[in-house]
Amino acid sequence: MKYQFNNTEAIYLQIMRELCYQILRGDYKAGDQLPTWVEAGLQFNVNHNTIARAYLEMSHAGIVETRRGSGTFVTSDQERLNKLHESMKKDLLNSFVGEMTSLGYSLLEIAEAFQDYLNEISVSSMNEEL
Amino acid sequence: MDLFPNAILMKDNGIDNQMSPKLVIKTSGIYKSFGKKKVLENLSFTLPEGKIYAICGNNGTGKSVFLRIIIGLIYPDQGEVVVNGQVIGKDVEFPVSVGSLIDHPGFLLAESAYRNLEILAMISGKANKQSIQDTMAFVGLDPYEKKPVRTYSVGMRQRLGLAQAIMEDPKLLILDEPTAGLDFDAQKEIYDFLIQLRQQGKTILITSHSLAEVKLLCDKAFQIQNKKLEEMSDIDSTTAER
Repeated sequence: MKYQFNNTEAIYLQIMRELCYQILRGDYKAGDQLPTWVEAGLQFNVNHNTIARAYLEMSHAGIVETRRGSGTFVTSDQERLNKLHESMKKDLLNSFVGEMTSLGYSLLEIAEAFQDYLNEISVSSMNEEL
Repeated sequence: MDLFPNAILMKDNGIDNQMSPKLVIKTSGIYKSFGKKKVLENLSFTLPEGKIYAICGNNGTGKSVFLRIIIGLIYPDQGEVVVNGQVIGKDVEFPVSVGSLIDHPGFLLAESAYRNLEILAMISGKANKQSIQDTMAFVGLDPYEKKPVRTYSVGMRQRLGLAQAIMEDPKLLILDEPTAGLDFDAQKEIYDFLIQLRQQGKTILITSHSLAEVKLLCDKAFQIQNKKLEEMSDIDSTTAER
């Protein structure tokens, strides 16, 4: 997996986001061990300190916990993971609405465009099933 | 980032203090030729303590020669090496508190790993039974294993080599291609050991062929090209935070 980083955001933040996606998608479940600094560093092709930094911030946010000598584990606190889901959702919506408004769309236009789009994709997925 | 509203964004502290980093290695104007063949020209660098560094370059570019000059095994034609504040060849013959792994260490193949380390410890007088056992445990070798080193795989010999380098708890480690000849899993283990040693505050200088390895491990890296030393600008452990 060769991950591409953008150069607007600090790399460790991008790694945090990617790991959160992976956790929320179920690649790592509650209580699962995340890759070691070495494994993750090789995967993302970054210095191990960058992974350490990402894991540290994630543990401050309560998403993972680091056990000395064992590694870093996804929290078993399902509440916390639900909150993360909510934050992720908000983050994506903020991005989307932010970009659309900067292109000049009003909130009403955004809502209409979004509804049209959802209708389109549900129609085409129904057609695929036939 | 709204995703982590409570994240405490911490600043680096301690060892990364830019104000007065303690310099572990400083070389100035190192030149070396073998007969008419010039190998190294004007090599100068300074390495602050507590980090992992690499010297890269193709085979035959003089990486090992440079390492040997730093450890005092070879004298440069010109220039000076200072390790932990002492001039090599003047203040001391060999730098103190340095563990090294260059080429294949001269193990006694008929003896066990423990016995090999025990003999080395007797010579230097700096390690005891407990520290030998702890060192072996750290690198994943069984201190009670009686099998002679002759039977060991490349990976296990490399672990033993690392053990002999760290046994006396040196502040500086100089390792020539520490993962050469190892399979992928064994390489990852060595990476793990080196990272732990860095966390203990040790300074590590390796040579390497692998960009992935250098990116993973190193705070900074240098390349010997055309007999000169250049910093590899894409290896910088702090860029990920900007």
